[in-house]
Parts: sequence; C-alpha cells; structure tokens
Amino acid sequence: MALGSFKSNIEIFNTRVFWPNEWTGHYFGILFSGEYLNFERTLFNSIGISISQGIGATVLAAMAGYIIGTYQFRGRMTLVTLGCMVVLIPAQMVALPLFVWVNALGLFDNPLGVALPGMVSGLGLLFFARVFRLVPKELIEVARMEGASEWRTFLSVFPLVRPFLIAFGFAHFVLAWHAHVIPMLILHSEEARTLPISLAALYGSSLNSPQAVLMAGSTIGMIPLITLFAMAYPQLKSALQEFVAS
Amino acid sequence: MPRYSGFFRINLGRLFLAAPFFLFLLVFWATPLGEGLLLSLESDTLWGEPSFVGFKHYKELLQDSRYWHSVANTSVFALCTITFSIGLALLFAHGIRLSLKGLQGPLAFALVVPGLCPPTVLALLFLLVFHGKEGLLNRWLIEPLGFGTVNWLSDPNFIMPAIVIQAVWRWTGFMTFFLLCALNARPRDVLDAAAIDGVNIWQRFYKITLPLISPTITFCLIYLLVDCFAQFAGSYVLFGGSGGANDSGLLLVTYAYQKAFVGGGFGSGAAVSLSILPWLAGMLILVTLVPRYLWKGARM
Repeated sequence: MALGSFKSNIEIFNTRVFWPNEWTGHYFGILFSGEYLNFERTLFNSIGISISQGIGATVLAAMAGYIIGTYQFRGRMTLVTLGCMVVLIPAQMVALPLFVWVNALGLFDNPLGVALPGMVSGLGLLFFARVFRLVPKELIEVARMEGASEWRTFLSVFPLVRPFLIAFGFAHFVLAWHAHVIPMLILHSEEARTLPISLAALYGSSLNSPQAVLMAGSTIGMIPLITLFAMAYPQLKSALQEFVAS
Repeated sequence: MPRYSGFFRINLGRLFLAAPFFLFLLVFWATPLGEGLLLSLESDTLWGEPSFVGFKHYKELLQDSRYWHSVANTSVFALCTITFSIGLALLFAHGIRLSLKGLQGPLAFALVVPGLCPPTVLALLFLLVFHGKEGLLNRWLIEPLGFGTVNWLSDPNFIMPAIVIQAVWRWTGFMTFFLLCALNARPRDVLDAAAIDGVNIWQRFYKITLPLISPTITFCLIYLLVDCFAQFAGSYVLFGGSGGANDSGLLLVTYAYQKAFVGGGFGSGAAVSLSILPWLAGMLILVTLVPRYLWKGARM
C-alpha cells in the first residue's frame, strides 16, 4: 500500500510491477491539495473522534469497573450481566435505531453523535472489574481506613493499573478508528467525515478513482495507529501477560 | 465499613464513580435497543406516522429466502474465520516462541500491523488482491500453480473465501498476540515436569497447554464471533453495499442496511438487526460448549 501511493493508476493495476517506476511525491501533493477530499480535515476528525472515544471509554469503564471490582453489593451481578449484554450486542447491531435516536437528539452530522455512543464499552467494564480485583486489597483498605474519599482512593490506585489503562485505551482507539457503519450513517457532510468513510466514498465515487491518492491517504492514515501502537506496545504486552496469568 | 451493602445504600462517592458509565449505557445503548425493538414492530412507512404491525416483519423474515441466505452466509463466515484465524494464530504463536529471542518482539509487532489497518482500507487493498484478472492472488498464487484465473469477487463460489481470507488476514495477528501472551504466562514448572516425565510434545500441547490457555482462547472466540456477526465494512466496500453476485457475500448486517436504506423499510431493517441476536447467542453456545465437550476426556 505504501508502495502503491507512489504508482500511477496503470501501474497499480498491473500487479507484475512491484516497485514503482518513478518515485514521486506527486500523489501525496494531490492528497493534501484537497482536489478529491479535504484530507487534513478528515484526518483531524478521525483523530479527534478516536482519541475522545478512547479516553472517554477508558475513564468511564475504569470508574465503573473499580466499583464493581472492589465492592460486593446487591445488584452487582446484574451490572456484570448488563456488561456482558453490551459485549454481545455491539453498536453496529443497533446502528439503525441508534441513527434514528441520534437524529432525535440533534446530533446528526455532529462528531459528538459518533464519539458519545462509542464511549460505552461492555468489554471495558468487564476488563476493569477484573483488573481492579488484581490490586492488593490491603492497599485499598488502608486508603479507605485513612478516611480518603472514594475518589481519592480510586486515584491512588491509578498508577498501579496504568498498563491496563493504556492497553485498553489503545485498543478502543483502534476500534474507534476502524468504525464504519455508525460514522457512515451519522456523519453526512464531507467536513464531518472520518478517514475510512472518506476513502471508501472516494473509491466509490467514480470508476476512474485515483488509486494512488487512495493509497497515499491510507498510508498516512496508518501512521498515527502504528506510532501509537509502537508507543503502547510494552505496556500492552505487560498488561496482557499479567491479565492472562491471573 | 460493611462488606455487603444494599445497592441503594451506596454512599455518594461510589455512586459518582459508577454512575457515568451506566448513564451512558442507558442513553446510547439501551435506548437505541429499545427503540429498535419498537421500530421492528412498526410498518415500513417512509412518510407519515407508521402504524403498529406486531410481529409482521419477523414473520415475513421467516419466509424470506434472502434472509435465510444471509443467516447461512454469516454463520459460515464466522465459523471459517474463527477456525482459520485461531488455528493460524496458535501456529504463529508457537513459531514466534521458537524463533530467536531478539526476533520475537519485532515478529509479534509485525503480525499485529495488518490488524491496525481499518477494515475499509483493507477492503480497498483487497480489491487489488482479489481483482479478477490482474489481482495479486491470481498473479502470484493461482496462475503459477497452473490454475485458470479466479474471478474472486464475481464468481459466487469464491466470494465467501474472499471475505474469509480478508477477515483472517485482519485478525490473525491480534489473536497471535493474545495467545503469545497466554503461552508466555504458562507456569514453567508444570511443563518442565511433564517434559521430564517423558510426555511427548503433542500430548503436552493437547493436555497441558490447551487447558491452560483455554480462557484466552475462549476470549478470542467470543471476540471474533461478535465481530463477525457485526461485520459490515469489509463486505460493504468489496461489494458496494450489495451482497455480491448471487448474494453469496450477503451478511446479516449488510442485509439490514439494504432493507433500511436501499429498500426504505426501517421497520424490517430493524427486525433483521435484532434477529441477529438469537443466531449470535446460538453460535456462542456452540463455540464455547463444543471445546468444553471435546476436552472433557482430556483433563488429567
């Protein structure tokens, strides 16, 4: 794909050619020139929506998961079951009524209409409920005994679960970046679209679609993901290993 | 502080921490779900007030051959994707563990990269791979093996393999990563003891490793299954929202989309969406119970 962004249309479809004939940054120029799509804008939309979803989902799920993981109370199992239900019925399945409902809320064509529903993560709830059970009980007990408020106690165990927070935040960021159905339905205008939607629309726009520009767009669209992944990789690995071992 | 307290006697601090999540859940998950239920019971009126029609849409679905086709497609798609990607992931994870220490990190990293690629973009790339005459798959694999070119995206027999290949390509890396972590987390002493006692490799894998990593495998199964049933982007781009030739690539979510936005029937579209649930639940029971049954005899 990265190679493809340097090739002409003809070269791309002739798959016997592996290396482009001429290395040219021409298509990247076209990409940013806004001839086919407002690339900076879509990239910015994607980054904004995905980051807010990643952070929002992590914070919400961590807070609720902390309560579920460290307390025993009546109705706890109900909440856990609810979490399982959310895992089993992902947003794509309720995309249609969600679209109607988001319209009713007046969030049509608004990035919030995609970002806010994306912050509900059943998997996150179950994940953090388990993660916070790994935190030594004594630690939480001591903090509570000292009279720290619930919020203070929660914040004080935060550093302990940092790899888990990063791992989940990253995973959710990737899912948000990939989302297709919901952004496609809710974000209508070109200014509001996210990257995958714009690229798919560009492909479908004409038979003579600019393949090299598509490839260039896809290549640049991968950069944030790979950078983040490289940054989160050690944390991701240690979190997963610890989680699996428990 | 009492360990067991009633839900409503929770102090404010705790409520403050737990409430936002469930508030979001209520607004952005439960409400659309409920609305979907109502929608699926209403007529497909585009303009004006829709009337209440009860289970009419569901009854129609039962007699709709395209619907059954999409159910069968989705099930085949999910089962094939799960089998191949988890099977391959197990192989890769073992392969990575056998490779040089310094290579393990980069290898695992490289495997995850295809999974980072958005399915939409991936589908665009796969258009080149699957292209009828000039596609990479034809050029580099099918023709050298001496077969005629396969028109992957328009030959009904090859559409399902095409979308399965795409999904497997996307997920195998992630699953390898999960399984690698699980394999690394196995307690060494058990394996060493078994090796010393002369248990052969296959038995060690089947009777010790698999039961040890089975929670992770179950997680992978559930994750993949839900993703397959909610799959839309891949086949949407490949077939432009249609089911492909002969509907061979028609998945349930695509069908719901077609009903609602192409056919203009929000009611019947919602009915298709909601009817995914029982199928998903059934498959879930199948994929989690079958391994348990298989390994009942294998437990030491």
